[in-house]
Amino acid sequence: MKWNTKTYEFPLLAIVTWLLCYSPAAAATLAVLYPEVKAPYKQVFEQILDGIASQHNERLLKVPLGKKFDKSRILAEMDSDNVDMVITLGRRSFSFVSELKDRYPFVSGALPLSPNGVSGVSLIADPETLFTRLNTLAPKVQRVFVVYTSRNKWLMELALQSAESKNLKLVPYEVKDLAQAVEKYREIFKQTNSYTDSIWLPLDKITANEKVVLPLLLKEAWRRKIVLFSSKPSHAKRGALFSIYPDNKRSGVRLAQMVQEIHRLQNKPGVEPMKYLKVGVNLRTSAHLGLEYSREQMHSFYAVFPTP
Amino acid sequence: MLIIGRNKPQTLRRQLLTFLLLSIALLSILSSVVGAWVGSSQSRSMLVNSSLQIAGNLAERSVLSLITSSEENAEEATSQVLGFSDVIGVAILNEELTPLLIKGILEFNAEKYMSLKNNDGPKLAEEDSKSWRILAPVYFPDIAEGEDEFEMEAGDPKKMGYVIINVSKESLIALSDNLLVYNILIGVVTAATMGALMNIGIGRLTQPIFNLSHRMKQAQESGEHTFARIEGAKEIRQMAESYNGMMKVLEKQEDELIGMNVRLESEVEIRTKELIQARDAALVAARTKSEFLANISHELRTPLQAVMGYIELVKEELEFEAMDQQIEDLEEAMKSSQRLLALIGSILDLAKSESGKMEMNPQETSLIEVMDDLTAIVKPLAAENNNQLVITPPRSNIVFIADREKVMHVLLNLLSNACKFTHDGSIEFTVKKTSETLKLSISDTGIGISQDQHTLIFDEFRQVDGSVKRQYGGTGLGLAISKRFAQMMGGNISVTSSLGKGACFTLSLPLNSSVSLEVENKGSFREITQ
Ligand SMILES: Nc1ncnc2c1ncn2[C@@H]1O[C@H](COP(=O)(O)OP(=O)(O)OP(=O)(O)O)[C@@H](O)[C@H]1O
Ligand SMILES: [Mg+2]
Repeated sequence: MKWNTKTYEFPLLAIVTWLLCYSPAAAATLAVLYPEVKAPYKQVFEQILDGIASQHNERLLKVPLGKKFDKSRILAEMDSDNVDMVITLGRRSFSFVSELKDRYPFVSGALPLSPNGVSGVSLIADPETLFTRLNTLAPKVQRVFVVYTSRNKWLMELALQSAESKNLKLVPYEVKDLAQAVEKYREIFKQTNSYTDSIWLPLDKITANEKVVLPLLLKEAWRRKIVLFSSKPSHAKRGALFSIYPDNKRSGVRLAQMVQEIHRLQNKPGVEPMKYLKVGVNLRTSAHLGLEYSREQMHSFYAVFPTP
Repeated sequence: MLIIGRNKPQTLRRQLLTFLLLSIALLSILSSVVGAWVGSSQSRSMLVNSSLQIAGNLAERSVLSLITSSEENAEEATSQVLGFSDVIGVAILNEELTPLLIKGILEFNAEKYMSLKNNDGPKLAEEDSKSWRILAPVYFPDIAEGEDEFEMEAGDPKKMGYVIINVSKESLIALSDNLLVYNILIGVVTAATMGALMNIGIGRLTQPIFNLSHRMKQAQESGEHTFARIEGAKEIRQMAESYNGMMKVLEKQEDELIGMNVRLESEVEIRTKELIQARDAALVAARTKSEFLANISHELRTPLQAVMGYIELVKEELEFEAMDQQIEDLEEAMKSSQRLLALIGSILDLAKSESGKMEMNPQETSLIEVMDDLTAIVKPLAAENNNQLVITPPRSNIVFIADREKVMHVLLNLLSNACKFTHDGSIEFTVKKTSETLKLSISDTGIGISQDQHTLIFDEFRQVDGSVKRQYGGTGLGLAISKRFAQMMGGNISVTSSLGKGACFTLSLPLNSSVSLEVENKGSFREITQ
């Protein structure tokens, strides 16, 4: 998983955004709560923090959270440190949300957020971007099957609209558990056609389970020559045609922008799906499916597998 | 040491060898057994670990089959595991331990595993002599640590069921058997090689001491002073040196001893020669004296008998002429002559016995007859000093072999002494017989003899003191002759007496003496009842 093999530096863009958002009156302190985890996940948070720092030029307070942490002590410290706004990254710091709600303007990131009153950038990819990629990487595909659980229901509504606009037919099935999911995939495979049908693996612990579902799907898709693409970065390496890589630094920038906006304007931007995406492609799978990519296309890929 | 034979002493070499061989054998057996044990316990733990891993892998692979409750999926999951040669049975169970699939050899009893349901990972659940059963829980597949930070909810591992694999111990048992056999084999070979090497080594080491002891034994058996070769270890060299030193000293001492012996022998020879000369001279002197005495007595007796014959002749002539006064004088002369004749007789006897010319005449002698004859002679003697004579003959006669004349001579002498040295008293003659000796005792109530005179009175010419001779006369030869006679007959004379209290002289004669032996077949003595 090479999320950080290439970092796109946009110094000019950063300066422009800084100029746009900068107001001398808003000399504010931003606290970022993030979990302390091991590599390779550590780099994800570092990249997001980089983005935040590039957007927020004033006082930045990094608050790492260990596996165990004292919530009230951290809150008290933030109070005494005159924190003006907060960004939470990951699941651990998301547990602060209820306390933060009434105290500070805050946004959350690095989570597959769904719209539920919290503002932030979701890890869930914007279906529109996803389908655009699908169109360019597997132009023959006409149908997209997806199996999801209730948590991703909101995304499916977005996806249905996006699919229509991209001339794709989205066939979603909702399931309750793994057993149902496995059963549903079996059914799907019975009705798929090679090359023109595809299966989309959303960010879902059950329907895109890596240990049970993924091996099953990879095997069947390979055999039936069905396009398999995923919202989870690591799946391209495992054998999906392509998978989506979030641009962590840019989502950091976006998070900082959002919290500054809330701080200034007292509004509620809500949850945004991940719009800044990079793509990893498995060339063995693409060759198997008879897909060929131009030099420019190859150049735009964030990662290719198997790694040369 | 346990190996030293108690009955038969073994050689040092054999003892050492036995001890070392036993030690090596013990060591090699111990090490091979320990080695085999360590090896098999290690491979056991390896096998258990790999079994646990296999069970863990199977658990991961079994998720799908448990989700779908599909036997086909279960078959697929288990087929690979059963490919392991040691895995002989496998089962996939749901959360309630109800089997979804059992394959191979596995006797499954849900109750046994109930208590193990809470285990987090694969565990050795059961073990018997032939196999292990390993129980591994199957978890709902979850994402890795760290990655769950990108999830809304924390992952909570959920148990979906269990797998059991039955792992055969056959290969392990075979392995440990092989280990044991090979180890023991190696141990035996090592011990044998070591034994052979040690045999040579100990042989070399003990050879010097063996040589030394052999040399010592040779020396002991032959009595020669052989020297040992100085070789081998320091101690053995020292021993050999000490032994050689001892031998040297012994040799020197023996040489000295031999020299002394030679000197001594020559001295003894000289002394012996001198002694022989002295003895011969003494013998010659004694014989000369006795011969002289015998000759002189004979020469004296002949003229004396002639004198006495003439006195008798003159006395008869004078009787015719009734010259009483002259007759009386002649009778005195006669008496003196008779005394002189008796004295000469006595001296002759003594000389004869001393020169060994006295002849013994053993014959059957009747004690009663002897006593009767003595009574007749002694009666007037006793009467002279007014003594009472008490002669008690034995209740039955005793006949024995002896020189009758000499017995009479001795007893008469004793009786005459008793009569002579007793006045107004009594003289008693008693007989006592034991199986070997005849004891004839003469006791009186006369003047007695003091203790210090008891041995002196038996010497020649010895009387108690000068006054005795004046008062009682006599020559002092009587007891000396009597004692000699008694001794010649194999007997003896003893005395018990004290001054003024009378005396008791006892003649003891052997009844089966050498003298009497000559006539033994005729009956050495017999008792005659009167
Ligand atoms: N019955 C006795 N009582 C006391 N003294 C004795 C008796 N018999 C011997 N003697 C002592 O022993 C001495 C030696 O005795 P022995 O018969 O040899 O000599 P003798 O009687 O004096 O002389 P001989 O017997 O030659 O005429 C005697 O002189 C006397 O002193
Ligand atoms: Mg006398």
